[in-house]
Amino acid sequence: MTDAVRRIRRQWPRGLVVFAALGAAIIAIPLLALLVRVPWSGLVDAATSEVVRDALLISLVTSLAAAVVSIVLGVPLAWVLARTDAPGRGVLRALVTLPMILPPVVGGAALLFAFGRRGVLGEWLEQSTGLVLPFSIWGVILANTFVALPFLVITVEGGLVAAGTRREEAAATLGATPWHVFRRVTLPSVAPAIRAGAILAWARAFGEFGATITFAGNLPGRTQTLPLAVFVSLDADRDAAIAISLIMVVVSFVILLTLRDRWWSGSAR
Amino acid sequence: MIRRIGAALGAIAVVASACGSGDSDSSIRVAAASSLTDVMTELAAAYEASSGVEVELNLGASSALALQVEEGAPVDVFASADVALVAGLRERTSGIGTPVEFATNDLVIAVPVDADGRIDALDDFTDDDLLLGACAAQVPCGGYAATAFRLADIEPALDTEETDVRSLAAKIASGDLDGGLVYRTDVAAADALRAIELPADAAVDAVYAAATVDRAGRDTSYGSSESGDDFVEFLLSSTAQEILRAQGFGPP
Repeated sequence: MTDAVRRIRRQWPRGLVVFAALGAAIIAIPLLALLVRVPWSGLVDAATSEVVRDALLISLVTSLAAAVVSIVLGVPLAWVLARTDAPGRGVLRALVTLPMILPPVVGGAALLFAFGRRGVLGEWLEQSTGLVLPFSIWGVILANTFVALPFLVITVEGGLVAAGTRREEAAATLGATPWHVFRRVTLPSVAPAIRAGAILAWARAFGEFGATITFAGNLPGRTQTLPLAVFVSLDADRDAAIAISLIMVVVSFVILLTLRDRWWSGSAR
Repeated sequence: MIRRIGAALGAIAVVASACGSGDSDSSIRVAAASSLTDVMTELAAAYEASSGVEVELNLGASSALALQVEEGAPVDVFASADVALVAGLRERTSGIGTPVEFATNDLVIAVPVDADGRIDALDDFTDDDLLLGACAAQVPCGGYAATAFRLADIEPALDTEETDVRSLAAKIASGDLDGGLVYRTDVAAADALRAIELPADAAVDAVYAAATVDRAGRDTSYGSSESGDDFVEFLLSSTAQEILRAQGFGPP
């Protein structure tokens, strides 16, 4: 390390530090305020109640399922966006990232219009298979996937662009088939990005609320996830709501903390 | 660059404060139950016409509104779908006036107008093959629904417990649910819904009550200087009662 670099590392521009502190405070203060309200004495009872156990299980199952579906569908999507010159890629990219900006409740309503019992696809689906997605755990997974998929796509697309195409071209020159190149060269080179995208997608699905309650409804033991349980108990049973919130904060924070290094720096490398 | 960011922040501050202040010398804020959505809009217009005081409405599930009021939300009147909720709030929070009962309502079974008749009584709520809804027990319409099921000695096979009555009514109207328990006035307000009466022994009356909320100790930078007393009194006037009756609400 040169002296100049050392000097830059030691001296922090004061303006930056002030704004950085404010930025951290905007996020930290509400979370600390939540901690202040935690009913520590009744916490174990609230956290182990049947409603909370059911909701935690549903949340874990549906968010993990959404992350898996996002990998299966999102990696090919990212590949199309990064590696092909298919026409309309700009439109496609805007389309698949739209759920990141769209109010989730709009996404939920749109899902109802498509997969509801009188929806474009939902009516056909019910008649041909008897499957009704709304108000079922499948509906929760679909709503979760709708909001989570964009996070995987943009992360993996970024990884593909950063990895470049030189090794893929080399493999192709040596006679590898396109499928072989994708499996043996492309996939390993973006593995960190896939991992990062999957974690982001999982985290988004774990906290999902608006699309779920609109599309999949709210029934304890079937479609009620942790965020829904928080919302429902916030009015009537505040201690339970705070206890659930604490569980969500701790679970999410621990996962983000333990994966941080492998995740961000891994994808950048 | 820095200067430009500063200018942008300044512009945001100006616009945001303009949005927040409203018409501060002659307006009141009313937090009202979602089942009052349509009628309260009409009531507010009538009150504005007669008093010259503007009414800002904050509509939502009564229980959610009660939480907002308890946490210091700046409102002048709280109109709830459940008189007990106001009474409970008054015990926990200072500055809440005496609840004034101003309307009644009752629960009915709502089905889509073109329903195939698979639901014609409350007993059908035990049918697992139907998609059925009620409100969550935490909101007033859910509390009333639980009472109705208990009175009729029915263990309902519900598919969703919605967090406010309007979203429940919307999902029945769209055909995504086969039926659900909502207020009579919600069915009256929606062309796509038809009402089926509850059996007499399971009938539940909803009693709506309004209370003033004292602004002292609350965020006074928003909204009004007027008190909510006049508005609560207005709710009992013949003008207001006529509007309520026209929308299907019963007398207090």
